Amino acid sequence: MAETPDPEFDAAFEIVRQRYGARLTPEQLEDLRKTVRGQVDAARAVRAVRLTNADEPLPRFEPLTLPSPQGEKGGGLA
Amino acid sequence: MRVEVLFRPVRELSELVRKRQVSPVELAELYLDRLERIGPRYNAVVTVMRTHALAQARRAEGEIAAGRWRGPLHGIPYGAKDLLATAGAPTTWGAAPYREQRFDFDATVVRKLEEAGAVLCAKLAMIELAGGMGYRQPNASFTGPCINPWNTQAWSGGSSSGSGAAVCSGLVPFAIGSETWGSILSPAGYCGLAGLRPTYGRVSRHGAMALCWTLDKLGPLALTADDCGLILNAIAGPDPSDPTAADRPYRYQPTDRKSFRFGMLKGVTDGCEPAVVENFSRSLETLRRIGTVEEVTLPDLPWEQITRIILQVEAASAFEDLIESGGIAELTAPEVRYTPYARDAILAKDYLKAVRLRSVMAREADRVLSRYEALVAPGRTGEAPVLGQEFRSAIVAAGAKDVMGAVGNGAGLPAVCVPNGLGPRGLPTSIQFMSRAWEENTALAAARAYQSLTDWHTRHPQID
Repeated sequence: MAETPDPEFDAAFEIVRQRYGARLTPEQLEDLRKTVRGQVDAARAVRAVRLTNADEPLPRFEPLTLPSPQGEKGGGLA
Repeated sequence: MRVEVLFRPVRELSELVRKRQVSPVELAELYLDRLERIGPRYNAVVTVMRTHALAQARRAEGEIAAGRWRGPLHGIPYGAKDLLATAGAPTTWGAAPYREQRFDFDATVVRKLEEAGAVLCAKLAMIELAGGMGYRQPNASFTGPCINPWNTQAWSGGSSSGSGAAVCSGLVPFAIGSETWGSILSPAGYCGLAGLRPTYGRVSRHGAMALCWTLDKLGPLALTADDCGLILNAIAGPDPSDPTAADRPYRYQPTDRKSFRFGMLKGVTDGCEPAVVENFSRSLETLRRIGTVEEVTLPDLPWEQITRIILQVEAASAFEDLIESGGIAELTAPEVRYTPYARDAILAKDYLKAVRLRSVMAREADRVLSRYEALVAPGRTGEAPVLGQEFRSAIVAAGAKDVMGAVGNGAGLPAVCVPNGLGPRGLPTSIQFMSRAWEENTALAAARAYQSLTDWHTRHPQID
């Protein structure tokens, strides 16, 4: 039976094939198809869950202030 | 040695050391000899640290003789999963591309154990890069597949494979492992040990290989749940070098709780091997002697997909250089030499959706857990997989899910795994107790109460 067309999967797999295909054997590429298929299915599962605008990630980004060595001003990349 | 020490819990060894009935140097020599002589049989050891260990043991011996006893780990040998940085020995991450890697500092956990007087005897084998590249079978370490001391045709579990095999075969009284998803509970369960996955942030990750910054935890494997508490007491706490290490004090308090409320997710044994179902059922009968067991449900959400997407993306980022350079081709497991390439196709918005859903996961898990001391479940779905066989597809084909692992790790919750029987191949089965965040003492109390009513933890494999 022919596979149902799935442009999203095709595009996802094509990203991987374009970037790394030259390094891979046909067997490895075929196995990667299954891996990408699993990833696309997982992504669809999480997309299917509805969240509200207020549902934010738990980890909070915290601005950081490193102690400056004595006598020096400023810091970071020049 | 004047008294038999092998397979005695840390709690008992500690008393022997404190009362000077056993010398730390004698102990270190005994375990170093076993690490060198028996360790290779199980592919359990990467580096034996004989000189370092004997120096630490002599120091402990002198301090104890002078009346300066530091606590229950003073003079007790241990092994560390080889993803913990240690000055003076390679830190290989279990992976061929890093087999010569060295650090000039000790991981915070190693430093804290040194402060507690413990004696680091060996760096222990592990699945390459803690399994984060997506291995599917036991032969996924440059040191070879780690063999289960209960049955040498079986795997010891992973990714803290050597930590499991070493404690199980009496090469060290305890070991430190790490868990991103299953890597402490798996070897503990397959080897018949107690394993503690602490709350995310309870133990500093400084100096540990980063696989997934928001999922990685470090914790002990030992002979009893009580020992796990003693070890967590030494390694927990804030650390200026790891901003994710929480500023929450931890003190192991082995209270003698008499009554528990246990929850059990509906369908938690679906897809498990018959021996696991049978032994878990027997465990529930035991638990009903000390409390109630109720079936509970979580909302129908894609728990495993949420945690898997986070894991895959963070691991791909942590090892971006190795993957993009093609360095993964040097890894041992054939499947991980190319499957990580697929992660380039995971969309950023899907990762962020998973991260947002993790908040829902944490809320729902806490809503359920707040009504119980612990959720209970089989530690593993079966006995340890056979060496040389692909195991992931077999678990999936059986219809088994790992909702406890997905939610426990995704929400950063503590869990303790202890043995609860043997299966038809002579390998241990296990039960896990998962509690609310920061309530390791509650999970440990439940596991300790279970172990006070059973003797599975007193059984050990025959080691010549």
